[in-house]
Amino acid sequence: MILRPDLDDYKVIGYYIGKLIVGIGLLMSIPLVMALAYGEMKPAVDFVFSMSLTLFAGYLLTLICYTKKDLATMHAMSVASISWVAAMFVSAVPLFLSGHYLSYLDACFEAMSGYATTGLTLVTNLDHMANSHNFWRHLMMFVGGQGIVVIALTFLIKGTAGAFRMYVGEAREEKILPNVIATARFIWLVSIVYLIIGSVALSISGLIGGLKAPKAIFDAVCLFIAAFDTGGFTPQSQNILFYHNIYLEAITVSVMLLGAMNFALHYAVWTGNKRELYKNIEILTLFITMAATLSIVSSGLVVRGVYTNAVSFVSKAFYQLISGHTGTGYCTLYSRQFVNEWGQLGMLGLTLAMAIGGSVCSTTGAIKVLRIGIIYKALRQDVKKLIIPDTAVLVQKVHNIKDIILDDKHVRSAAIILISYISLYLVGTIAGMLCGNSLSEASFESVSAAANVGLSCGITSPSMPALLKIVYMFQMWAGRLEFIAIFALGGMILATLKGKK
Amino acid sequence: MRDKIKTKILAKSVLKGVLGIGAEILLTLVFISVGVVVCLLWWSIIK
Repeated sequence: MILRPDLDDYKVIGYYIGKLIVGIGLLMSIPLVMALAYGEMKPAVDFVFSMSLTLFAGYLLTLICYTKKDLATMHAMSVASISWVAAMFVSAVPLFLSGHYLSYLDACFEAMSGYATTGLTLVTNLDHMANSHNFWRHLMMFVGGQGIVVIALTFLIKGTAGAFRMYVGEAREEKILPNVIATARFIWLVSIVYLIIGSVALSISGLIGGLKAPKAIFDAVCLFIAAFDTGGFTPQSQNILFYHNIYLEAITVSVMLLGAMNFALHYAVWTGNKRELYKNIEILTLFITMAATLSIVSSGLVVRGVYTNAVSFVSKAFYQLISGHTGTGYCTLYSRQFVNEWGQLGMLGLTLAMAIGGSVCSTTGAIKVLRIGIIYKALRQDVKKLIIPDTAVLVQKVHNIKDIILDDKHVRSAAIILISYISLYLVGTIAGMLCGNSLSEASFESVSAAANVGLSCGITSPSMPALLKIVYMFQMWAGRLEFIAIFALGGMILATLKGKK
Repeated sequence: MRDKIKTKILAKSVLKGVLGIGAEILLTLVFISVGVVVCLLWWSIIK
């Protein structure tokens, strides 16, 4: 029997969502200060208005729903899923006011793309956008990559059991340290340390490439944020192609790979366990899937004779592949070159890489290499069982920070997520085909949205049908949260409609 | 005495962190090298 949620259940959800909205409002103070520093008065007014509106909505919700009750699993999951949608609606306000979006829906698409660290964009005239508005796009990506709940855990919410449930709802299964707040703070430490190192390296490469110092520093910070959080927004409309800078490309590849690593792996390595780097199942699987998908892409490109010299072939094929595999979406090509030059095989290899993604408990989306590794090991175990005597006991281990004995629970969990992602990829592909695109183009764009990548073959544009925009927004949201929180929200809605009192 | 021990522990942790960052950056360079080798392999096989 399903029980209908009572008023207290809704109040506890509303209270925590209110707190998260307040957090988003406070976050707007950063681009506001930036607008004032750059002397951008109109954007400053946009941020004052948006911040006031967001803080008012957040505080009102916490006042109306005030409660001391802790979060149960269903509440926490519902908060995790709804807060991302609420964050999208409020964060789209300053974007819409910037005048660089044709509609509020387009601004919402951009905000969801930012928070979900996707990188698909509907912005118009990006090269003339104010620095503060442009930085807000990247800041959303940073917050989304870290996790909206992680931010709240660090600054706003006390570490209760409910807080941990909310953290799990945001597709972060692993508690790196015994305390969830300490885990959230460690995630910040890794990001801030790499932010400093990466921004300095990218600034230097920008200066070498001929950028002036202020522009080199601004772009370096924005590029680092979007690369480490595997987002893919850039401050320029031509993406990474704008820079024509081999050093910058090499540094962004390293940052994308670092962003695709598990935060638990960072913790292990930073505390002296360097052997984890070559024993870890995620790193080994990433090596194999990268080599396999790169082989498909390379063979497709060489057969078509797209590139006449080896250097440009390696740099283009490898860069796009790493960008797709890590779920970043940085690009050194124009969108339509995928269709016109890369052809079906090249696009297939890249689509597969995007569909797989990076590590769990990182900033990437998609199925993730750990699940691919687990399913492969389970398959190998089943094949071995057919060969060995019936009485023999076969134990299959997986090494991810510690040795784990593979059992049906792990395989079932990995298979559920795998099937859910494939279904999500299919939904977007069908929607894309309904809007008149070919199978290869529709699947490429759909996987890019659902796996939170951001590479585009040209379908995503302000002129695409509103239905497709909404489908891609749903895919980005569901893909980022990895379904469980969304299934729980669906269960909550079902209980409200059909539950017994 | 206690301060000295604390400083020593902190210095050790910082050193471990720095070496860890170095190891991770080295790993990304290994990824890049493997990627380049795979690309060149296909280039030489099919071309």
